[in-house]
Amino acid sequence: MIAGSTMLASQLSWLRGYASGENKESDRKARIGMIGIGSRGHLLYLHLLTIPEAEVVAVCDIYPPHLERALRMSEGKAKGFRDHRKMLDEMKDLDAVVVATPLHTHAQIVIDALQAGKKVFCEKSMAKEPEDALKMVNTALETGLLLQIGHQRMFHPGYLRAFELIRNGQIGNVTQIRAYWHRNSDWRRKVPAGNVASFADPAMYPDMEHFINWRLYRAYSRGLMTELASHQMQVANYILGHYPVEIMGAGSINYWNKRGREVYDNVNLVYAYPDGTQVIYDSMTSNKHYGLEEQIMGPKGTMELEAGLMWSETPPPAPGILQLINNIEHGIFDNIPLGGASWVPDTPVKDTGTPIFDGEIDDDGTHLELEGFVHAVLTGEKYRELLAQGYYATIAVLLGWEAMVSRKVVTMPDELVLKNI
Amino acid sequence: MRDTVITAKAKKRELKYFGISFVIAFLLNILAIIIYHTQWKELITQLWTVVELSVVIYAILVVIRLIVIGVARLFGKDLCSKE
Repeated sequence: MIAGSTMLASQLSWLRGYASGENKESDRKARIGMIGIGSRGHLLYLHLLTIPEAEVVAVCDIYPPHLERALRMSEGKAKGFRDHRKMLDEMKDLDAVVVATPLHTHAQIVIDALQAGKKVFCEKSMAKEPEDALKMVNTALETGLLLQIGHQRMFHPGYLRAFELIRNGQIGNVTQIRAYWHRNSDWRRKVPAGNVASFADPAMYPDMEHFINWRLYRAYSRGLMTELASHQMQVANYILGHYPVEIMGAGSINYWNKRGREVYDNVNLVYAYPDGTQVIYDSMTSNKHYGLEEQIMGPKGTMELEAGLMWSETPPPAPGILQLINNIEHGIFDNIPLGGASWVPDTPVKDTGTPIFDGEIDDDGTHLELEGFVHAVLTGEKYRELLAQGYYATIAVLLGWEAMVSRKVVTMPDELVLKNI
Repeated sequence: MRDTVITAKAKKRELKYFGISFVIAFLLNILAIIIYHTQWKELITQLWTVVELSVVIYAILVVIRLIVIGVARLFGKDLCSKE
């Protein structure tokens, strides 16, 4: 259970039932099928194995080594499938499915699962094309079923506390958000030997390289935007209470320009919101010095959500005795300027900051979001606000991609605005 | 190497000097609260800083006393024996 979630539940709709502990008395377990059990799917499966209310009864992956590994993990409790449609046909008693396949396959699998009456957890981003994401939302609304998108920060205690503080005016009205995700790696995974045609459609994957390193190719992914930026754009959208209305950006392949990479290795964007606030986003893969961060700035303070720290613009003064000692030290040791400075540089604040959340956090939110999903499967919660968050994060990154590729300012199309949530 | 004997009188004298140092530091804290308009609760909350400052003042007094004793010896006076 999320620490402090009862307090937050009044503000965050998807936590209300979760925080109240409903379904505690029920012995029933959520019967779950896993679709896609590669690196992320494997991690989700490991988490689900530790949730008592969840029972993974089916696993599905087109890649035989992943399927075999999942079947070994299940210790005979799960049935294996190579085709998700067959799994949905045969496993009529499934309550829900968890989808962690490559991005370009999300839409079809999720729509198939919803139409088969299954509740769905789908990893972010929702889809490779905005229209597909919209179809997914509409199918969830038409079927009346839960569709939760894997934005784990919406369950992370540190983020939830930050959201609460921001809403309570701790840093004033948010006037700018800067977010970045920097890595120093080409994202390329080792390609094992094998014949892709023996397990996958060769029209979709011409070789093992494309199958394993799908994140690098435009046919399957939008690269840094859909794999990394979507997390941070979801946080930005939630804090600003709206989706971006205008997007401009530039991207290129300026370092990892060999071996056929098709998606940008660095992206730089500005997202404009209706109230004039901007989100400045960048991601790069040739330097990891600054890592990742979301910096939330307002007239009264600053928050860095990944670091879990905040700063006030007007911090309380140091104790008098320390000020006195400091001034005496300066009086003795400082140089006497011969001419007065006409300009004082705006150097960064060196204060180490105050923790946003006091408790210990040993999860990035993934376990908690899966607990939340299992809870919703059993109680019938639909988390529509979360679905809208997942949708607009996806739209934001896909329009960002469009802005970079077209080299034009992209405006949020009216037809992509949700009318029913 | 000779044994060093610290007499009870010497201990009392050093305690007196440290006490003076503490009083000076405490008064500086009051002065700082007034000058910088900070809170009076710092009389309590900053006690550890006052103790640290006392040690610094005591150390400065030791250096001054050593200089005075050294200068006096140059002129043939033994201030230590008089004490």
